[in-house]
This record gives sequence, structure tokens and C-alpha cells, in this order.
Amino acid sequence: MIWMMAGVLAVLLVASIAGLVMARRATPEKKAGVANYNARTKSWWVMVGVFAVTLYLGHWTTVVLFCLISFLALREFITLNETKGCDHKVLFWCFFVILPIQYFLVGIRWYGLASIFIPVYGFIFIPIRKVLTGETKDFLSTTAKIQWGMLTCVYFVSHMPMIMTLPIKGWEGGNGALLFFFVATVQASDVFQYVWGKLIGKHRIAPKLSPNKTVEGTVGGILTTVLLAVGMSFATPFNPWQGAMMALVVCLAGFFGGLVMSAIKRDLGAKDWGNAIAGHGGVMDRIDSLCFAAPIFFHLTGFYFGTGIDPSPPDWIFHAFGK
Amino acid sequence: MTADLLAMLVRFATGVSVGKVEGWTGKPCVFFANHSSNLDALVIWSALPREIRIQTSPVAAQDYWTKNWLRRWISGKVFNAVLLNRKGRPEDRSHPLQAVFDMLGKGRSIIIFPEGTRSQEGDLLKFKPGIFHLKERYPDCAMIPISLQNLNRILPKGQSLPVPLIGRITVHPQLGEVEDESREDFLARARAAVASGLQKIKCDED
Repeated sequence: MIWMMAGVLAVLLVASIAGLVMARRATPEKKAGVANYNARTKSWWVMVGVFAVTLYLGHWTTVVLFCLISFLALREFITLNETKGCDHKVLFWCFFVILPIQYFLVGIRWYGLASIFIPVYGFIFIPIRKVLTGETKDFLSTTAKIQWGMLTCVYFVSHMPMIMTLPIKGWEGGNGALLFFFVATVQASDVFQYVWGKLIGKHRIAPKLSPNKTVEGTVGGILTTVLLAVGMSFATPFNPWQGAMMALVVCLAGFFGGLVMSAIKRDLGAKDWGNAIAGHGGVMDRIDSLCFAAPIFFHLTGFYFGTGIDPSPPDWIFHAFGK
Repeated sequence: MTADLLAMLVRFATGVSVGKVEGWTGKPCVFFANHSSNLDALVIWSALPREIRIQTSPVAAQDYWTKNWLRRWISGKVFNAVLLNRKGRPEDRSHPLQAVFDMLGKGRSIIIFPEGTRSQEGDLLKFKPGIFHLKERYPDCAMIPISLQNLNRILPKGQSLPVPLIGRITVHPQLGEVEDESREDFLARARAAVASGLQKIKCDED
């Protein structure tokens, strides 16, 4: 864990120095690009710092951090998706009841309910609350938008703190490192795709969806990340070979997650989801790839390396109901 | 202190803030905006830069802002609101906007909602003539249009609980002078200025 952290800090340091040098040498027409690069790097320092400290503090702080991230992402998602006035009450439930309950369930390690709470109970509740308003116009499309928002911004994202609660044989207490490995891999993939794309990118991979993504950038970025993951695998339950395969799977999931989210964004006519993180855009712009990769990483890891997660509620809940 | 804290909280919760107000010279001015939510006055007041905020009072409905101790405290102590009775003329048969005139006379700026009431679903209603009278009486006051977006989704009319969406505020350049303008023309021009900032909310600037 310490070594992974040191590695990330070293990369950030190199990136910041490169930024300083570029800012000195930049020609006027390249100034804006360099300024954006430097804003991005600065934001990375803050994000890495916050993430490392919360991981260090333990599983509840991690749950709270991701709860906040979900909240901000859902807010950006619902803001851009025009919902109707009659959705007000159901949105209140989503933000202030369903979202906190989901993270509470993750926090108390009630895996059995946390893994179905939103897709089952949430998805049944949302149309019921909506139907109570008696409004039928665009019923299915607004319901679907809200459900999709809850699924991607809350349910998927909550799989990251869930990694903290995944029991792995011979790996007790090392879940923080595993979560760090996952986030570092997916984010490194984003960064290396951006860097390779800027350096040698020529052929656009999805011109309509994401004009900056190139074949060279994507392939180069994913390959570099797989190598990086091999290097980090000693800090995880994976052997180097498994680490490489895991990295490949989450990079691909992340890549498509990013594409899907940008398709939604383009359809809504926006470039970014918001402006919460300087240089990056909104929170959703930063976590779009994590969203799709998190549940896959969680389940693959649990499937191959886990010792079986107990789906029953914590004992104190049994006691509370007199069982 | 409390006021700064409240302003910070509102800016954080709604994502609304204003960097710089063009045409601000330190002299009292009239900010006028579209009205779709009970939060509007609070949001504009919070979004304004501090040096403007401390000398700006929102014009607000008396019935709403005196309903409970919290609202009385916010409107009275925190942002020094001018409370207007929307039902009929004052008993002493003075001008209904007398309290607003007094505020401008004291050198404070005001925030006013010329539609007079909150619109449903966020569309812009017809402007009431109040701001025309303000301009007539205080021709030196800059008239600054403001457009608020998404506030009607954060706290719509008839709802008591807010949903934490991202709002947006646009402060337009002040209205220019037009010689011998009729009341209707002035109100139409003021309304068009506010309407120009009310397209669908987008976060497309880089």
C-alpha cells in the first residue's frame, strides 16, 4: 500500500514538474491547453490526498467519502436530465433516503441487502412514488432516467467501498490496498489514454461520442496500465498474471463506461457534467469509468479469491427484531 | 458572520455564485430577477460578492417571511429584507413600494422580483410596473437584470423540501438609458433581458 502510494506520488511529481516546464515554454496558442493540464494535475493532488487519507482512516470514512461522491454525481446527473415538477418528491427520496440507506448497508457490512437494495427495493419504490402523483406524461422515460441515475451514480459507485468489506482468505485487513489498486488502475488507464492520445493519437475511435479518444491512445493507455498493474500486483491477492487480467478487464469496462456516459452527455447537449473539479469538469466526468468497472471488479475478485460473503444481516439487527 | 456563513452554505448547496458584477460602482442599484422559488431571494443574495451583499436587501413577501421564527430571523437579522404586504395598500395610503423607496433612499441596493409571484414550472410571467416606478424615482440607480435557472426544480412552488440540484445565476449588464420610453416598453425590455439568460441549463463552457 505504501509502495503504491509512493508510486502515485512520484508520478504526480513528474507530472507537476512537466507542467511547470511546459508552462514556461508554451507558445501563446498552446497556453490554454497547458493551463488546463496544470489545473488537472493540481486537482489530482487534492483527489489523491483525500482518497489516501480516507482509506487510511478506515472503512467508515471510505463509506462516507463514496456516499458524498455518489451524492454529487447524482446531483449532476439529475440536473442535466430534465426531470418534471412531479418528480420532486421521488427525487427527494432518492437523494436523502435511498442513497444514505445504500451506504449505511455497505457500512454495516450487510452484503445481502446492499447488493440488491437499489435494483429491487429502490426500483420498485421509484415508480410507486411517482404513480402517487397521478401524472402520466413521460412516465416511463422520467422513471427510467431516475432509475438509471440511481443505478450508475449510487449502486455502481457503492461497490467501491464494498471492496473494503470483501473477505479474502489470507488477505484480512488488506482490503484498503485492494481498493487503492482498483481505483489507481482505472484512473491510470484514463490518464495514460489521455497522455498517449496527446502524444501519438491519430485515428479517432468514436468521433461522435468522444472526439478526443483515439485508437493509439486507448491501446497505449490500456497496455501501459496493464504493465503498471503487474507492478502493483504484489500489494494485492493477485499474482502478476492475474493482476494483468484484472487490469485488462477493468480498463475495458472503464473505457466503455466512459463512452456510455459521454453518449448520454452528448445527447443532452453538454460537454461536461458540471464544474466541480477544476480542469476535469464534473464529479461524474472523473468517475464515469469507475462506475462501470467497480461492480465487475468486486464480483470477479469475490468469485475467484473471496471466501464467500455472508449475506445475512449483522447480529445486532437480528437482536433488534428479537430473533 | 452568521450572514457570511449562511451565504457560503447556500452557495455550496446550490452551486450558485457570481464572480464580478459589471456596472457596480458602490452606488445603490436595483437587481431584478425571475421568480420561481422561495429560495430565489436567498440564492441571489448569497451569490453576490461580499461587498455588494452586505449592502443589499431583498424585497420579499411579508406573509411568507414572517411565518415562523426562523424566517423572521433570516429576513430581519440576516439579510435585512424589505417585507412587502402583497394584499392591498398600506393603511396610511402611502405608495405600496414606499418601503423599497426608503431602502434605496438610505443608499442600500435591493433585489426585486417584478413578476410579483412565483411562476409554475419556471416560465417567465408578465412584469408588474413596480420597477418602472423605481426607475422613475431613482434614475441614477443602475437596473441590473439577473436570470436564475433551475431554482424551480430545487424548491418548486408548493413544495417544502428542497432537492439538491445545481442552480445557475447570470448577472447581465445593466439596462441602458432610453429617452422618453413608455412604461410598457421599459417593462418589455427589462423582461427580455431576464429572459435572455433562461435557456435550458447547460454546463458547456470550458
